[in-house]
Amino acid sequence: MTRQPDPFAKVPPIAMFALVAFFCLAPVALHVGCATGKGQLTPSTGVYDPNVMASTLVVTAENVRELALDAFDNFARLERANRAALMKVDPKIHQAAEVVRRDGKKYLDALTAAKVAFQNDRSQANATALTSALASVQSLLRDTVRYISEIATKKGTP
Amino acid sequence: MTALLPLIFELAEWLAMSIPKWIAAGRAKGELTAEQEAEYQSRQAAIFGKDYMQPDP
Repeated sequence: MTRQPDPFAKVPPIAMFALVAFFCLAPVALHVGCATGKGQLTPSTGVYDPNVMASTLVVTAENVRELALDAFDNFARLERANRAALMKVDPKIHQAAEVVRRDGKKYLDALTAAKVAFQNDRSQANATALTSALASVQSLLRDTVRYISEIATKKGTP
Repeated sequence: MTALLPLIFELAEWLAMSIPKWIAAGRAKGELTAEQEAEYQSRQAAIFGKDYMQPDP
């Protein structure tokens, strides 16, 4: 049985990095620019008041959640489709993808829960909890990009 | 090419760190409506239900 040549075998690590980074960061570029306008939701009552200023924290959480979902989706899809080639670049990229697959939903669900709690009771305590959940999602997002960057740097350094 | 790698590393870090700033500095937007929130939840469930989103056993 002859082994099929790996189509990514000759792809330089820097090109692979650029490809992966593009899929991770493209959602960021598409979501640039979303400050608060009007419109405030109270989930417990289902009331949406279009005349009240939205919370910056809530809008930020909703946007970070959205772009994180896109980034996790793109990263996991790319990693799974090119696992063999990326494992040759560095196994860490697979480990990073596994973290996203295993913990990504938990982080996003925690962010949603904190957001809903804050929208129902806009207290300082709930704002602090939402900020913390937001930081966790941002951290996972940053880690994903950092892993890929570290891999590219390590493999490309002579 | 390798000389550019530190720059790429810094750029990627900067981009990741800048996400919240970009969001805060952009156009006005209200909170999601209940329908939009439901749409997001449906999309999230669909994405995490895909084969490539399942972790290794």
